[in-house]
Amino acid sequence: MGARRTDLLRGTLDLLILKAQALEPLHGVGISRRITQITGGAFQVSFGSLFPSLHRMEEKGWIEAEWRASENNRRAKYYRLTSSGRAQLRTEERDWSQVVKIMTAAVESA
Amino acid sequence: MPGRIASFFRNLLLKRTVDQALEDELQSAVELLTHEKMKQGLSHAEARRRALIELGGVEQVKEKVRAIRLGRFLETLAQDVRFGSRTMAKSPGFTTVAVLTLALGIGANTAIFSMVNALLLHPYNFRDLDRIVLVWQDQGSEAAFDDRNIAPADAADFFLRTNIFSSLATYRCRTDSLDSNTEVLPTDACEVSANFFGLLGISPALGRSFAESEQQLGRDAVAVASYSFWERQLGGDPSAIGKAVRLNGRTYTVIGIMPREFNFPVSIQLWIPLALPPEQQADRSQRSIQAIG
Repeated sequence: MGARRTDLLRGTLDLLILKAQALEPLHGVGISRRITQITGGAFQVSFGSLFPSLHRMEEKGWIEAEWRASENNRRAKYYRLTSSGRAQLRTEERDWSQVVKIMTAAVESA
Repeated sequence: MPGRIASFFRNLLLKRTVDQALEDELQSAVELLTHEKMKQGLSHAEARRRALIELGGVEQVKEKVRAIRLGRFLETLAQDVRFGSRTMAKSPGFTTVAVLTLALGIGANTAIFSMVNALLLHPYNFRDLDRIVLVWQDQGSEAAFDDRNIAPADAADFFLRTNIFSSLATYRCRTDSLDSNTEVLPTDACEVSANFFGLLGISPALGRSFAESEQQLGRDAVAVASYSFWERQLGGDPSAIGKAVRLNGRTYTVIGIMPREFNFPVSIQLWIPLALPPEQQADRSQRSIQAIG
């Protein structure tokens, strides 16, 4: 099965974008690739959703940006989680586990 | 909070810089994607084409980001307004003082500006206002006297013996007593020469102004009323033309009503003809009248 463009719930997309940056600062393309990677190729976030989300997160202070040289020696804008972004990531991870637990229980109860 | 303020100013004041940064970011993304695809063996042109397709249109992405930024800005603004209202509600004393200070400040400024605007910037709507002057007479060491007053014979000479004025009107004003039916009212009245209204280019809203002949003693028992005088003393009645008013014990027939905005010199209620006896017309010692030309 090929990579699908999936219309994710916004909360889910936020969680994935934050999660993708948890290890190291990444630029927009890097974040997109990382999401594809950590979802095993199941999700491919469109740039039309990714960049607005990144800017919204930057406005909220969850991430901060910095221009630096990319892996092929070009300038790129790298995003990094701030402390409030890490806290947000933990909250969303907890919320998501909760949802999964509840939904799983609900589905299996039948 | 400081981050939010910084972002507010970044968005507001440096809109172009923000747009430029966004443009740079997307161009850099295009390059990164192109590079990635070239590593897969595509030509530069083909790699770039596919990169642009994957990005989904630089302009479309920019629009979406801008919408986010604007949305955040409005949201922040709403939060600030709510925060501001709450803070003000919590300290009503401070709020009252602040509001009063602002109100007084704005009010005083408005009042002064209105005055300056009316007096200095748009004083009168006379015809050829830029060609109308008040004629003053410098009295040198006798400066204690009012320079605005000149002698009637001098005024006549200023007009007849120079080429300065195409027309020169004279007037003098005082507070007279108006006998209304029940009481005597102080009333600001001006005696004016017959060409006074014509020189200013203002015609009565109702009736007529003075004729040359009404400047002669004995034929001068006519009056032009101000709009407010007409409203208050004459009942605002169009048939007031021809009515009589008694001023200083003398009866004048109202022949005209001036437009509401006409007010020259200030706050005058009645204008009557300036009918000087010959000896006064020839007088150079008494600076008894004013001139405008």
